[in-house]
Amino acid sequence: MNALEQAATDRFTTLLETKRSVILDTWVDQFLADWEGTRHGNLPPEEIRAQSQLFLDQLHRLLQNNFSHSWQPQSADPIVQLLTQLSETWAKKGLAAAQSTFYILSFKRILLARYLELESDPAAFSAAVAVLDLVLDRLSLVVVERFEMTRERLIKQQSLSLLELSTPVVKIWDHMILLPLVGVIDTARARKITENLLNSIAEIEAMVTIVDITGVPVLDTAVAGHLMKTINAAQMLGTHVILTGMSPEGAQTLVKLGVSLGDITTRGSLKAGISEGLAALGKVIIDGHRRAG
Amino acid sequence: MPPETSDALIIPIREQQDVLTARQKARTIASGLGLGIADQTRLATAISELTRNAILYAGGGECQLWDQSDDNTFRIRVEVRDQGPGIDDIALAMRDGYSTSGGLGAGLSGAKRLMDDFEIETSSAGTRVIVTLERSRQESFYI
Ligand SMILES: Nc1ncnc2c1ncn2[C@@H]1O[C@H](COP(=O)(O)OP(=O)(O)O)[C@@H](O)[C@H]1O
Ligand SMILES: [Mg+2]
Repeated sequence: MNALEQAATDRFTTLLETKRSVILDTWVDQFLADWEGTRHGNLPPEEIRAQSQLFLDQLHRLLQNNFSHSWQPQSADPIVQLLTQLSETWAKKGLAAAQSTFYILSFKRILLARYLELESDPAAFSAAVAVLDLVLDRLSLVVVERFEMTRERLIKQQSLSLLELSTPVVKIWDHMILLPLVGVIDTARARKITENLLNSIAEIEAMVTIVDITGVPVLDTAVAGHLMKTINAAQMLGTHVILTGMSPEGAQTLVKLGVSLGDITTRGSLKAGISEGLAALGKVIIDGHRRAG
Repeated sequence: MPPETSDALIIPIREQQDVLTARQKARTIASGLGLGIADQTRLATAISELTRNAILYAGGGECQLWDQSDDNTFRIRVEVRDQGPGIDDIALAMRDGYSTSGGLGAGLSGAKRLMDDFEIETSSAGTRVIVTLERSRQESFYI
């Protein structure tokens, strides 16, 4: 760093000591005011204040200890860890990415304004800007990156839970469950479906399992293969599997493909499958109207 | 082999989603010609097999669809090609139950049975499968 930059760095260090509380107040107030009405509602001001306080301390330490051009944010740096944690929290709470960037940038503006009160020489001022660019721009990159990583991870998690949601296992009678399959069955979903199904079978001690494929658009060999694996695994747990909802076209196509689903009961409609299942459980459906009449 | 006309529909095949797109487009062509659900299903299933193979064994490829119907015949031609490693032994790959991926091994042979014409060319530069669904305009095949 040249002499001017070193002087600016020292001045910032001093500012962070002498003007610490006023800088903190302005910063936090401005941040909250600028995002008034947006979603910092579930982000308590005290929390922002506490975090900002820590940030000031860490920045102070960073500038004090031989700060130079070669400085790069490392994940082990306390200040980087602090910001990492902050952006993760904000990303999870649903704040906009712009808000986290604005947080650092507004701090930069405030610090520079304070600096100008002490030193108005243009050359010194531009050295000061250079120093702040060096440290704060790099830190704001850390914030943005971490923010996006967290968001992406959240989205992945959400689509995973969608996967689970879209493969519900329904208990329709004592010891009888229904697995309604809807949509495209790829390897990831097939695995999830099998896992859910086996758990449910064990949990309710299902003696009858109805697998309904009305909602499966195309029964190609990949889907049929997944289906067979799922059904075989269920049968191994001792449950009686009934496959329902295969369309006549689907059946024809399977035959042409040369695929046989093996030794399982199939029924055209879900209704027929349920009566079959009840019969297997020793239950009989009685038409109440006729009996009453 | 008929010339590749410009009105072919070209669907890049890279992932599962593209398989659905190709299937959907083929169904639309078939239903537009008045072909029934059974034929639409055959076509969609054959396309599913071939495009999945392109993804699984060649890392992706391309699916082209043509409506080549004429006065007497409804004709839908499908070409799925990739630039993968090719198939070493076609006779073996066409055999029911043969699979190098732990699959059912009925994709190629099944597609051949589902469709009315089946051609395959393969080399170390890639694989090209062309299947055609043909129906006489005279018959009725609504379901
Ligand atoms: N596009 C392709 N490129 C390379 N190899 C292929 C291709 N398509 C099929 N194969 C080979 O032919 C075999 C049989 O294919 P298929 O009948 O679809 O059955 P499966 O996909 O269940 O293995 C595959 O296991 C694979 O080794
Ligand atoms: Mg296959």
